[in-house]
Order: sequence, then structure tokens, then C-alpha cells
Amino acid sequence: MTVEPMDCAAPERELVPFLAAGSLTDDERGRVQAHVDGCAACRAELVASRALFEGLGSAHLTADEVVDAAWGGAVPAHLADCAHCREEVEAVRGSVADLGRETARPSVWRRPELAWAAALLLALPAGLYVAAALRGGPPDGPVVRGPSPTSRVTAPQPLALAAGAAAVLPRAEVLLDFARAGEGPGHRQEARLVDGRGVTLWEGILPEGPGGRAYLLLDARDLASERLTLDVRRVDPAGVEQARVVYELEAPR
Amino acid sequence: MLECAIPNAMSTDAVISGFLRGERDCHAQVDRWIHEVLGHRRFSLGSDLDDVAQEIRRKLLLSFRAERFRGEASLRTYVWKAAQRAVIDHARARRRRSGVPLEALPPVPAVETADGHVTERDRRDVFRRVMETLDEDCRRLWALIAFEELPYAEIARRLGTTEGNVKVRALRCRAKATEIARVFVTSAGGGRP
Repeated sequence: MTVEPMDCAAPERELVPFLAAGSLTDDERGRVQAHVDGCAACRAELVASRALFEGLGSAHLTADEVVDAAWGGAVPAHLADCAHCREEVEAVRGSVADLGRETARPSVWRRPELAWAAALLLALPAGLYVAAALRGGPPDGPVVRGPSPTSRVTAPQPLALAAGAAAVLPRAEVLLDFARAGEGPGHRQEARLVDGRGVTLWEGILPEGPGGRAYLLLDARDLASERLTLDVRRVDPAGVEQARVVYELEAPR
Repeated sequence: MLECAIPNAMSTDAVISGFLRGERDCHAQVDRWIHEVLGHRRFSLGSDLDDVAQEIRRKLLLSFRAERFRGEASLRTYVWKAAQRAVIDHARARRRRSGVPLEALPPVPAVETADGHVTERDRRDVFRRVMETLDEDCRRLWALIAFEELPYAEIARRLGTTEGNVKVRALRCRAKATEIARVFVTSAGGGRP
């Protein structure tokens, strides 16, 4: 590494790290470069700053690490500091999620707004569960057509989630019952369900729900991962996160 | 036998061996997997798409020849990951091409470990540790300087402070970071002091 530069009191000295980073305006760059050319202390500072800048440039995640992190592997600490690498991981993660969705069985996930409809359709065989699901009354929106008389009808098991305690997820059809992340005028609730490999199984906006509750209908019989995380965020009209609740689920084999 | 031509019946070995033999149907199958990634809305490759696809095919060819595919995941997943890595590499190369040239600046002195041998991996480890060791203020500041390459005015705005404060701290934190790097580098092999 370099020897620590001597002192220089010129105002250009403070711009030397930004000269090394290439982030000065053309005018500033010319002025600072001219000063550096005639100042041994600032030349030494430039060498030291450039060494740090280039060294930190090598600290970015490798493409292997980006892909590995996106697929649920190790998440290096560098990600916390680097927006570029975070964006890359998020982009690959989005691609992984979509690839997973395209190849997954289409019946595994249903839209959350249909959970209410499912609750209505399954009312007879699942009276107890419906009592819980219908707290506060049915939705105002349209109800989809139910299964034909020859369809197999199953009753999903209700499962109330609590933040801070992992819920045990049975290998069955389950109606997840959880609290929304508070309320606010014009706010929306964004939810994302991710499995232990980092694959996003579902993400979307939760519909309005009575009593601050929300519901997701999940067929958990064929999950590829034993751990799931349901991340619920309340976002204001400007897109700023106002509150967040994270639910952990475990599906023992 | 052209096993890749039989829908839903191709084994992993058949696809790989067919790909290595240059069989059209096996190449078409691998290409489909590659384009499942390249066509994703998050990767806007534009006119570079064919070049990236070709680079992925080249890397897969080398990888299959060297028998690096060990079946830990499906072949499709393996191809997807190779494609995703290539997309990242391509995006980075494109970003570098459009960056500010630094050739006018003095050369960077090499990082040398105690045994005089340094690899890119050593260098990466050293500077990751530097960032992990720096105090929060310095780490945040130099992340904005070096990772996001922001001008000092924008850094001041983001940190909610004055431009003068940013400039002074940039120098002070640079000195701290250099000292930390020196300690890591002079310990054996760039390890922890």
C-alpha cells in the first residue's frame, strides 16, 4: 500500500478522492488535476485514493456470488453497502421467481383475493374454518364460480400466523390468516412469500380485509422448501414503506 | 440416436452428449433454456442478446467438456444460472464502457501480501474486510464514493450534511481505510491481523 501523504492546505486537496473516483465536473477535474501535477502531497493523496477506489472496486460480488445469493445461497456483507450489487441480486432473484412460476404446477398458488371466494365455496365441508375466515363479513367484490359437482372438494386448514413465532405449516391446503401491517389513508399492503432457497413463490398487493386481517390460500402439499417467509409491507401513496411485518413458516418433512 | 428430438424423454446425459456432438435438437433445447433467462423483462439486452447467448453457449461447451456439471441441480437450472452469470457480466462490461476513463490518472500500486503473491481473490477479501472494519460513517461515505461513484454534492444531499463535511470526511476516511488495508495486507496472505 501507499505511504500516507504529507499535508497540503490548498482547497483542491479535499477534492482529490473524487478525482480518483472520476466524479468531478470537467471544470473541477481540470483545476484539481493542475494542482496535483505541481503538488507532491496531493499526488501522493491521489495515488492513495485511487488505490482505495480501485481496491473497493474489486470488492463487488462476482457474478457467481450474485447468482448464488439470488438462488438463496450466502449473502455477503458487501450487499448491505452496495446498491449496484443489490440491484443485480434483485434482478436475478426476480428472474428466478418468474422462472419458478412458469415451471411450477399452476394449481399450487391462488390469488389472495380469491381466498374469500374459496372460503365461501368451501363453506359446507369446512364450517369451522369458515367461521374464522369470514370474521367481519364477506367481500364486496364478485365471487367466482365454484367447482362442478364432480370436482374434488377439500377443506383447507386455517392457520393463524403471529410475528416473531414460526408457524408450523401442515402439508395440506392451508388458509393463512395474518395481521396486515397496520392501516393508513391511501396505503397499500404489499406481500411477498419467499421460500428457504430465496425463490419468490408469490408477491402482490393484498386486498382490503376486515378487522385488519388478510388471508392467503396455499396448497402446501408439494413445497420444495421447508422454510417460508411471508413479508408484509405497508406502503404509503408515495411508495415509502411505513410498516413491515414478517411471518416465518416451517413445513417439517 | 437423436434423443433431444424426443419431447420429454431426454435425459441429462443425452442432452449434454448431444450438445457436445453438435446435434441440432440438443442445441435447440439448451437454447430454449438460455432464452428463458435472456428474454426476462429485467434483463434488457436489446441488440446484444445474440452475443450474450453465444457467450453462454461457449461457456457451457467448455463446462460440459470439462465435466463440471455434476448433477447437483437439474441441467435446466445449471443452464439458467450460467445465463444469469453471463447477463451480469455483460451488464457490468457495458457499464464499464460508459464510465469515466481514468487512464490519465497515476497507476495504482499493487496490493502485495507478506509472501509477495496476490490474487484477485486476496485483493477482494482485503477490501471487503476494509469495509467491514471501517466505522459506519466512513463505510457509508466510501460506499457512495466508490460503489455508486456519486459526486460529492449528491453524497452530501443523501447524507443530509454539507459538501464541505463530505470532502473533509472523504480524506479522513480514506486515511483510515488505507491504514486498515495496510494491516490486513501485511499480515500473512492478507488475512486478519
